[in-house]
Amino acid sequence: MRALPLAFRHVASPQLRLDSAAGTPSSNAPIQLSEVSDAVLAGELQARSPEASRMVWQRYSPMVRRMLARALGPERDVEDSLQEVFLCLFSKVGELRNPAALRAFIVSIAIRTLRHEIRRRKLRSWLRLDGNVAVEDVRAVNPDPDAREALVRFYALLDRINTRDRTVFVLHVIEGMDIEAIADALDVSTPTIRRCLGKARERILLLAGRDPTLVDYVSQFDLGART
Amino acid sequence: MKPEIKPDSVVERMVFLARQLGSEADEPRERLFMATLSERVAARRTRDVRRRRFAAGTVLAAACLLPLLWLAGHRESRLSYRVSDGSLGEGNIVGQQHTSVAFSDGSRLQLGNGARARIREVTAHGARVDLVDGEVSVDIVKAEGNAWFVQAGPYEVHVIGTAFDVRWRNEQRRIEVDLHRGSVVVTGPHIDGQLHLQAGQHLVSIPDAPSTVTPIESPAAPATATANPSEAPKAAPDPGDLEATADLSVGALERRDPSATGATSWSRLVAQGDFERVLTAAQKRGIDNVLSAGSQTELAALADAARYGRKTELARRALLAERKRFPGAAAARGAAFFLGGIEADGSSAALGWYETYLAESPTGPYAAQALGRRMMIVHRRDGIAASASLAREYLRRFAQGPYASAAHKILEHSPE
Repeated sequence: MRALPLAFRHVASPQLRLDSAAGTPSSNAPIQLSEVSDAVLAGELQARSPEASRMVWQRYSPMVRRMLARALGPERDVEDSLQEVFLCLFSKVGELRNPAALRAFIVSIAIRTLRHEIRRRKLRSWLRLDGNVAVEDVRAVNPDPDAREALVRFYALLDRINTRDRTVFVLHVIEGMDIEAIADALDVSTPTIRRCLGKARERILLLAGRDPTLVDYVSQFDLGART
Repeated sequence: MKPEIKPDSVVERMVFLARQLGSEADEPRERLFMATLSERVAARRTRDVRRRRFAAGTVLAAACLLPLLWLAGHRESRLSYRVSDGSLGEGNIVGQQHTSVAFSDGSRLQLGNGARARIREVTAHGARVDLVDGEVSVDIVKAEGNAWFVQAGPYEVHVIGTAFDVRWRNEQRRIEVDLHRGSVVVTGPHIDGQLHLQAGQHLVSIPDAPSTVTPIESPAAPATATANPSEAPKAAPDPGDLEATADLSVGALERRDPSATGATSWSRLVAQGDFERVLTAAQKRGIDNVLSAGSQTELAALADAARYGRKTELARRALLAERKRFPGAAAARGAAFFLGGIEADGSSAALGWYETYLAESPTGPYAAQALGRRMMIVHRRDGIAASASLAREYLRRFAQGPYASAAHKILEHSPE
């Protein structure tokens, strides 16, 4: 199998670039919220329109759910965290100064919630309170049981690195977010994010290379010397 | 024999799998959330106001306590040190025959004859030493929060807990580091980012040439590595890391769910990775008893626990029992796939089970894996020509499957 260099490929997700296009509300004609820009939607949200809340949920909950699921791993039920993100958004949307940056605002809340959740789960794990993982989710992840097991092991390795490094690794390498976008969302400098990424990669490579389950699983896909 | 797998490949594959995650929406919970949204937002705003008031009170209390805490924090005393058998020149310690600097935490520097060094800064957790010229042997006692640095010209060696020799030739702008124990991080010119040196490694960095890392035992050996953290040869792992690995494994197996009982909880325990408890419970009931009288769910859970717990023989018995006792069940057909997985890699037995699975469940949930593994085994045993038709079939049926890249590779090299 072709090995990756230290810099893993990542797929940039256009929807996760934080420069959301700003639209301008047009005249006095009735507005269909499903078609309006983020700027208009944020304005409606600040005016506490129930329709706007529904629209924001429909527009952004799939993205946030996917981000949380990829960051927390297959054993985790993300629904509570997802609702927490949107409750926080609806409570704090008044603080959003640039309505066109609604997407960036949501992503930053999602990342904060994510980090809080990772820390909370670590604490629960230390206190041995984590017996109630959502089993069905594990079963639904991948039809291949070995892949499922490998994935669970991989996320167990991620649990061993510190919360910020893990968050940066997951958002950049798995979720495909730009370094700059992550830096904005975490409110730290780009070099700091690069350092976190370097540390996370180094640690994950070390741990993954030593894990017999992961190595066994991946060895199935290796063609060996015959080709 | 299994091929050697690089950690990069492992992580790449896991990232590929992780990208497929993205759980389905839970519609009833979504509906409930939206129906109660306005009440929950209002409750949250009230809670936020209360929290802000509480935070303001806490800040006030902290402001009162701060001076006391500051005083307590500054009671931490800095390390002290004593220089033996050395002399001072231009503010530097000048090494003689047995010059050493002993720190109060037990760490020690030994200066070579004629070496010049300066203790620039001492803290409670370490010191910063400027090596002006010559050789210094460093032996640092490992402790949490250690902050020891040796600065040699433009190079900086960050020490964690270790013993090493560092030689700095100021005129030649040449640094050499021999690391005897532990690990250090070196930064400086001609070093890309941070160089992590491991025990037993020797670093040389000079102007106008790439930095090299070689084993200490054979410094003249031709094999050199560029001073890139990813390419530095790895020596024995740090014992601390090994301990951490062991801790996790134990931790993973010690997760407890006291409510778990019966077949459903066996499946649940397996899903949680607690294979040991399933195996223990099965042993208590008697393995033969479970195999002959257990439910199909129990057999499946036992087989999973045994497979993941590396009890191959028990896994085989459970899977065979499942096939024998529940021949019509989908899970029994799936057992053929798992039996293929526990047989020796590339063996005829494994191949036979994958063929059985594909014959019994041509469109089953593991068909992509079974066909892919069959293709890989045939490729390893009989070569490209024999596996080409399977590769074609695989790509026709599972163009985006996990073995697609291997199938493409086989077809690229196929003579047909």
